[in-house]
Amino acid sequence: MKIKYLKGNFEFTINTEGLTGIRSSFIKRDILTIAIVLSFLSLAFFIYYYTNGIGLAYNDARSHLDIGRRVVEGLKPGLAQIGSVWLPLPHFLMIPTIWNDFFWHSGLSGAIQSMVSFVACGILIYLFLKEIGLSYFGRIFGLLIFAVNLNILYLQSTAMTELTLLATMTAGAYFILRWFKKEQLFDLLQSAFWIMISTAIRYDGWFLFVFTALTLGIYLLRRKGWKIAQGTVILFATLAGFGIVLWFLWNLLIFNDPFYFIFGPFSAHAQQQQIFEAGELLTKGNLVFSFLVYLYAVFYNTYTTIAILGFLGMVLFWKDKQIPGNIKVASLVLLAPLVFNVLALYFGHSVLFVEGLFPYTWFNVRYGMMLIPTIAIFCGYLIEKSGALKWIIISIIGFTISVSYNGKDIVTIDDALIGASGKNVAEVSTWLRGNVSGEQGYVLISAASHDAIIFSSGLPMKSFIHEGTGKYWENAVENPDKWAKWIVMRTNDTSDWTFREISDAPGFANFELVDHYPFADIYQLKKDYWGSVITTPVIGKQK
Amino acid sequence: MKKIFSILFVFFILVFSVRGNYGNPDINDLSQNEWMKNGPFELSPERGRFALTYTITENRNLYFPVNLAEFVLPDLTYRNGNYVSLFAPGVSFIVIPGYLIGKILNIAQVGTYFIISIFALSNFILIYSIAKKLGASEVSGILSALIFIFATPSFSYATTLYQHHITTFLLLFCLYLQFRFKSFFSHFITWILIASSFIVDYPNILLTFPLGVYSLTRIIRKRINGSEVKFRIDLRKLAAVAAAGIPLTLLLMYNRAAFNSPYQLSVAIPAVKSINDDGSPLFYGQSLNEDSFVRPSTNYFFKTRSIINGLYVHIVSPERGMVFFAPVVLLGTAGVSVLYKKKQGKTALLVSIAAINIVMYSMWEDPWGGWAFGSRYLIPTYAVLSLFLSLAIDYFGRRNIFRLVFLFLLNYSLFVNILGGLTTSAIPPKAEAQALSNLFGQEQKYSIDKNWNYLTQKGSKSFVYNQLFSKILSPQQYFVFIFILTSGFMGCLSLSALKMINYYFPFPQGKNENFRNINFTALFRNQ
Repeated sequence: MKIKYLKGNFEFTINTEGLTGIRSSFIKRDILTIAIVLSFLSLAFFIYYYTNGIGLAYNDARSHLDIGRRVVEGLKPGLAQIGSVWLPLPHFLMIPTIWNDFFWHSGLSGAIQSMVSFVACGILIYLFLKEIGLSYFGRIFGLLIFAVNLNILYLQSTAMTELTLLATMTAGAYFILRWFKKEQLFDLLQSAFWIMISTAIRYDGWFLFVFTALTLGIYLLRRKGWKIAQGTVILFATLAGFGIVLWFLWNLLIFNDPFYFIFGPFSAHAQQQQIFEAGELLTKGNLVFSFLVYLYAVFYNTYTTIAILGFLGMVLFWKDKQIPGNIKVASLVLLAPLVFNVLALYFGHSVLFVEGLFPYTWFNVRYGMMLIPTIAIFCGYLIEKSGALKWIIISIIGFTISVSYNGKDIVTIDDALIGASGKNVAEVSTWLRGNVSGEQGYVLISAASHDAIIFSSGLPMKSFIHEGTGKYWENAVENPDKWAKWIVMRTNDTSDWTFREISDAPGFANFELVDHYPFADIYQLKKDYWGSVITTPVIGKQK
Repeated sequence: MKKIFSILFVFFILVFSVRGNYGNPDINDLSQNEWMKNGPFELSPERGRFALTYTITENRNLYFPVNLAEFVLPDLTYRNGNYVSLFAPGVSFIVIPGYLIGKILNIAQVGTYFIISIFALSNFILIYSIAKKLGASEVSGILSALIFIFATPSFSYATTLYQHHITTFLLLFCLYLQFRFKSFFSHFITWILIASSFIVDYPNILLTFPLGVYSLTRIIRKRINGSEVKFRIDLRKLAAVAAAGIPLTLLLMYNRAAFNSPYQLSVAIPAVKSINDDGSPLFYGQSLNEDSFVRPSTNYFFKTRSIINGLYVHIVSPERGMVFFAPVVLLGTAGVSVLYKKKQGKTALLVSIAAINIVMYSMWEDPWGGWAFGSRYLIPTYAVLSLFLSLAIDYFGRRNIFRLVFLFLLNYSLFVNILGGLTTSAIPPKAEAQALSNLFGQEQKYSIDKNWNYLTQKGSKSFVYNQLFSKILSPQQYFVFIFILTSGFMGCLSLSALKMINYYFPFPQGKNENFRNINFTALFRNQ
């Protein structure tokens, strides 16, 4: 750098050759550089949330970890413990590490996949923007919109499934974009593969599968005729739909009903039915309200201004005559989460409470995150095309993000702690840790209702008799006083399977209520019966 | 001539509308209903600022005696045994000349408020001048400046004691200087104005940020020459940035005098909730120990979580929304692309001021601005949109659909805002109105209808009306008189600006050089 003084002016001259060197070395290793930076960011935020104790604020995160743990430890370990409540892939991915108590209780076993997905999703956004011809500036900007979002950073630090889903869905969208550009078979297969993976994570992936297949089919039908459309869609669907077929098969083999995950007693449908009967499923049958609710969720997750700017970017993108029609068609896939969530709310398959539309409560507001990669991509596009207004957009987004950091505005944490997702299980689990730890005997509990208590108690999985323990459960609900020393359940709540099964069991009279909490009650077998209760595994290996 | 006539017109309408009572109120008068609820001090922002002016001029200090402190509540703080204003002090100092002149004429309060009206008049002139500078025609410039003054909620705040017109004046003056001049002196004044805006209202530091950046980009020039990037810094102009130190030094002096510490801002001190019988303060959230509770700084005021509600309140809600209170300025958005094609840098600056204004106050904890008429925080945005509107009128003025929409929205906006200006700003947010309805068993309005009710049931707060016209005109007749006067004048200007007539009616001379369609009968035919 040279500095000169000229008639009242200072002149700084910077030779950009050095900077060009830095730039070209970044260009050569852009993916690696991004991966390293995102990995550090990911790790830093995991450590931050782990150390401040809110890394596992979602009860669902603890349930996910417990499902993984039950595969390797418990009274009836095995793959069947994967169950049917949630799609299986996140739990399969936990198996290599979940046997370790630290990985289980720190949540790392589930968070690792979210963290890797965070890095992967960031890279995919960058690549997507590269594929639509954006400069480095636009690409990095889009990447930053995703990577510095506090809701993303929280959920990548926890054992939830959102980030894994986002990464696989974005991968599916990225490769389908490439296919639309170059029509190379390998891109189509890669897209199908990642969409197949996403279908094994959350049902959003199923919709993406249908949405992509339809987009592909309609596009090819109009451009290349029936035969090519038919062949290509069949090829795509064979791989992309493979996970769905496997899931039906799994339900048939384990639960003797291929539709068990849809209509089973622990299904989302059953939960939604309860909410509907309580008159709280207000979105059902109301498309405008469903859209509004989901829009609010997106706004809360993206601090509103970013979503609005993303929308402007989308409008510009679709109005841009320089962008080929096939690229525009491919980008429709980015909107699949929006369509899916609105339809799921409309048909009553999903429930979402947001502040402003529902009185002072949150539930599942994290679903709004599913559009963040889409918004990031369109924000990247907007910044690329906004000319002199670029710096305004950067200032506004910078201001918004800095205020969100300053105010620690992380709606997904509120969703976990304050909303219906975050019922406080600490009292019950603390009681169990203090009174059951080190004692002989089993705790009878419904994992479907109280998995978070099982996790938070810190007790080994084999201390619990739950619905997934086969004969232990069947025997214990018949004769609780012979099999369990403690019972945890919500008394008089028939949605709690333990109460439903044991309320008329004669042995239940031999228990006494030892503590009562808002979330559950704790019963202990009267000391007179302790001598006859089974306290060690007596049933051999079960099928 | 056109300009002078328009300035006189604005001046007289403001004189006819400024709120106030006759007399020089003392401490005991101020707490009377005649001055508070039914008078010019209906809301705490007016009270707090006037009280500081009062105590500076009458008591020669910055502290409020207990009875004046009660008048100021809840925008009150307590430091070192003294009650002090929670507001940035700028407005209270700026209006002192008005108070002193008014006091001589036995209208101290009216004199104080009229200083704000003078700033509003200055804003009219500045909008006109900047619009011309941006390429608008003279008549469109005048019309858009009139729209800002009379067809937006800025009119309500031109007749009472709020900071918004001074803030807008500082912004517009900076814009004018930056667009008009390149000299050291323009930068020097710009930086003084930027820093002064902080003293007028603390959040202005964010609002003026784009202006600071714009000024710096004109001081530090970038040039790319092959592989070399040259930055040339004009040291003389850079020294102008130091001018910001002048107002800031004054603020430090004020802080030292008021809080015993030059770096203590009033917003970081706990607010007083009420005053005990013994004259001691009772703070929000605690009892008496003032140091145990420090209000968090930006966390407290700005929340990204509030943006959804904030945007709703500012843009579309019937409580404050621009769509309800000043829809005519929304047509200004059409002017953004017109200017962008010609002057990208200037467009960027204007858009950034409006965007920061909207985003910032959407994050604001209380986007309603308490009890208020329209979205008072967006007054700078109305000014920016008025500038764009002047260009939109020139560009789209020949399109019949634009003419129809514009004329309709203009008259609607004038009706609403003249009604607001002549009546009251004490419009509660919807939630408060509903709570009050439940409490008193009587429906409370939270939108423009509240002003209509006020006009028909209580009258007008206009000083001139109450002193001169109340015996010969009903409040409704007075409102209709002012409305017809402004609507008529602006309607005539609109006909010229929209190229519907070929002369500047009602001005006696001058041809409309933009006029093309001589055939008056073809006014509403597509051209």
